[in-house]
Amino acid sequence: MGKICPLMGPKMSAFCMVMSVWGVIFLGLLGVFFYIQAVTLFPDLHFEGHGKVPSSVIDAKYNEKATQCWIAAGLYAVTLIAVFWQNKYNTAQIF
Amino acid sequence: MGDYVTPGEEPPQPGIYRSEQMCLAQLYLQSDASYQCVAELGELGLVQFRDLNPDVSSFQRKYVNEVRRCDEMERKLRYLEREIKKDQIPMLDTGENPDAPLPREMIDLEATFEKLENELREVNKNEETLKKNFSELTELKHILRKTQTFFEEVDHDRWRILEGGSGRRGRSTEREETRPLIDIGDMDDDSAARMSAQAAMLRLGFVAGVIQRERLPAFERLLWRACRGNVFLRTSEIDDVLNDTVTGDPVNKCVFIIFFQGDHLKTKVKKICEGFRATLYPCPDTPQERREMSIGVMTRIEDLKTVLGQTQDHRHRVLVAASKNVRMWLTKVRKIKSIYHTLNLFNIDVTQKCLIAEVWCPIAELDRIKMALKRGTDESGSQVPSILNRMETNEAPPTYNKTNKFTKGFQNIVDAYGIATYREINPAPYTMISFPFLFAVMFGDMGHGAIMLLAALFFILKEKQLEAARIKDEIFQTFFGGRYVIFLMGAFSIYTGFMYNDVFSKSINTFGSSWQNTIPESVIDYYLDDEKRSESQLILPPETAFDGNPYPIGVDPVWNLAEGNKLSFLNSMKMKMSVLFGIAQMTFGVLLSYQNFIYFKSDLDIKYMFIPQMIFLSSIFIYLCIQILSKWLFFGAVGGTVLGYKYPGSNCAPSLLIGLINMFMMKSRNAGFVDDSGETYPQCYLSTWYPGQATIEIILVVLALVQVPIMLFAKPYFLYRRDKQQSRYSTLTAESNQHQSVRADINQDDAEVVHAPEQTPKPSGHGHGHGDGPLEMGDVMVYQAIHTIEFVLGCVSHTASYLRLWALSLAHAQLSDVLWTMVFRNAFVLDGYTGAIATYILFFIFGSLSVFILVLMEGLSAFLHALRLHWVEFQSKFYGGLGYEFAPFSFEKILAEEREAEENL
Repeated sequence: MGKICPLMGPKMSAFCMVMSVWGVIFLGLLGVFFYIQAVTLFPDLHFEGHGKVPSSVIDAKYNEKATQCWIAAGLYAVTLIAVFWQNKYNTAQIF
Repeated sequence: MGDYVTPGEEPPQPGIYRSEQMCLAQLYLQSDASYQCVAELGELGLVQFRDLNPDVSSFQRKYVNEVRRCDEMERKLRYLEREIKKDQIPMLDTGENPDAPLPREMIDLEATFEKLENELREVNKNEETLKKNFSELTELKHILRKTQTFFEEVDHDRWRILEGGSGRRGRSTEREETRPLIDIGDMDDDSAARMSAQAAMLRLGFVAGVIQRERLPAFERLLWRACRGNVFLRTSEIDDVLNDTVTGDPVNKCVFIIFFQGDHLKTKVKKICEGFRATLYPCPDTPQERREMSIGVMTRIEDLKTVLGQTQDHRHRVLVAASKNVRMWLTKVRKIKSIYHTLNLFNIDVTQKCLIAEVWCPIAELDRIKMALKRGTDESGSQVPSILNRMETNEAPPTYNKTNKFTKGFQNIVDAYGIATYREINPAPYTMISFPFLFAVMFGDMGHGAIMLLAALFFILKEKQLEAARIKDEIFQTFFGGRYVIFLMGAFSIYTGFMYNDVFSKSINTFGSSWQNTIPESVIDYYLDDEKRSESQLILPPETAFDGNPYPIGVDPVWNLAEGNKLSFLNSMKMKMSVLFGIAQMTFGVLLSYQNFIYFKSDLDIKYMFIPQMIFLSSIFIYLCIQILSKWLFFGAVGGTVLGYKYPGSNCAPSLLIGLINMFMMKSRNAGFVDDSGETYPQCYLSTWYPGQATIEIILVVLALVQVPIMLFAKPYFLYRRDKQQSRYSTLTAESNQHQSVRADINQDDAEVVHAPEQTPKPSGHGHGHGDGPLEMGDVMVYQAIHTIEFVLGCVSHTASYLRLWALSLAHAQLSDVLWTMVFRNAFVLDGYTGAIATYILFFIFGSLSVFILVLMEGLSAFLHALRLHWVEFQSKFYGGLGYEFAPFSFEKILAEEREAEENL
């Protein structure tokens, strides 16, 4: 078929495919680690002001970041579908 | 003949452990059979021919005419190939590997190529002629069409002048031309003037032709000036784009017609047309004749189109037929050429009517070589068998390491430093593990290692497709060629990443940390209440926070959160680890040199080189390694009694670096960490930490220093003594006759002449000649001094050089941490959907930078440093690298090189 909406060539779409797969896996796992409140991710949380922070606030912040990562992983899944379609139909496959 | 073993020959060993055993063999080939025998050896690819005619120039060799004929055939095939590509005909490449043709087939090939080339040249010439005629007729057609308009315009102007009414209007050309007529009119009556003017008009001449459009302005200007305005030029553009018959490029042209009066102007006009390379065409005067000529031209154009089409079809058919065979023909011609080129290396024995060749070949493959020679002899129909005669020589054979696609990458790493001396230990088997391992020590990260592993896995699994694609990018070729090295590098990096507990600069608490927070909550609240105090950093005290059981595998994940002393701990650990790995690898190198000395039977080297080196290394550096391990094992966070001394706590852990310095300075130090009254010494980490340490260290230092003069003087002294003894014995020993036996195997119709080797092969002794000439004591002393100094100083500097393992590991870990904290962490500052979108965008940036900076650039850096550690620090301990590579006569290699050169054009 003819070229529909030719945004990416074969190499760019292949690179974005790899990044999207990596993004889904990486951000999915990162969301899991935020959800189980991994201590090593504590420095990545950001709190307003100073002083003692209650446990409930920390728990809520962890959950929020987990949700953020999972939403981003979902966005990468959508991106994966788009760039896969670009790679498949706009040009001949390299490999 | 298969079970025949030459006496003194060592049993076969694994192929890659050392280079293959090689021998120099002499081939006696019958003249009739030599071509076929060399062809069979070329298919086999296991023999390296020596040039027996080095002084003969290329043009004086026996088969130079045959090589020239092959060159000519190759030229014709390249011409064919170029014509095929010009017509965009796909060439058939079956990957077929035809046998080398027989010499009589060469004549057939020559005839075929000659016929094809002549036919193609004739077709091309005919096509060129036809195209030229076609172009000329097309131009003539346009001239005949345009000139009709020109003549009608001229007639109209002529009548207007005759009327006399509007003679002064119009262009300046007309005005200038009609001035003499007015003068004539003044002198005569009207009727006479009119008749004279009409007669003058009828005698105007003209030429018509075609000129290139770019040349028209200059052409027009020159005509005007040279003829003083007495010519009348009319032009019109040709709408079709014509093709230049010489170059084939499209060119735009114009039709022109020039009216003039008199023969003088005619000559001048024609010369100007020739100067501007305009093409003049004959053109009739009357419309009737012009119409007839136009019809004739159209008819001829149609005929030419038909003939031209048929010619092109014929050319296409010839090229299509040839394109099926060009690849195979090229392969055949190249094989023939390489055979004759090899035959030029032989000696010609005119009395025996045979050719004599000398070849290096692996001993293990002698049977296959004999079988190949027998096949060649049978194919040529010769009755005299080819003889392979093994020869003894003192010349160093070439080095031949068998490789496959896995081992080739590692062998290339070693060979880039130097080709192994014949039969010395090949470092490649050990490099297969130590190279990826040392790379991983510098690169260790589970995430980045996984990326590298998956990329290499893609190359390995898609191996055939990627090879078939023949990608020409040099960087890709480098990565693809080293895909197995990259695979192991990735796998080892995952392992060291697990040991460092590092995944994109984050740690994973797999087994449960051994540290816990023992600071009371009231203390934490006290620090958090005040804004200024909340910036303070608290350090967990090891005595209470550490539960005594280390994290089972790798680094405790608590260090990932330790901002204050994380680098202190990791640097200390990695430096000690670098020293351990470095000294282990260097010691292994010295042990490999022992293997070499045993193989080459260098007793002097074993006694006075290897043993002193090991003692020197053990006294200082291996002792340092033992201290490192002892410190790790015995000195913990909790105090107690260690090795007989009371140990108060971690502040008294001995300092190994200062201890090493004090060992050489032989300073007196306190014994133990506490004095008799139970109080701790002020600088307790400087004390000796096991009983008798001072005495032992003095002994070790003296022992190490004693080895230096042994390494320096012992071997030259004993060489000198041995040389004196040999010079005395040599006058008494008579020359022993060379034993020679000839074995003929009637069943195989083959013969082999074997010279029995000497019973006791001479030790090589690093090239010092025993009986080959007078011993050069000066050279021996200088060589030994250089070697000893290099080893002694090398131990110190190479140990320091291995600290790059720590330095690059630190750099990689810190870069990874910076990438996370400076780039990716910003995504978590935002909340809600904005945060999700920020995570989406920043992960792409984080991922791209991880791949391009941390995996590619840092990976290349770690690769180069691992390469240097192997080439200099490891291989300098045992590796001579003074050999030269075995370059067998192989059709496969020759064709691959030709193909590569062809693709690079």
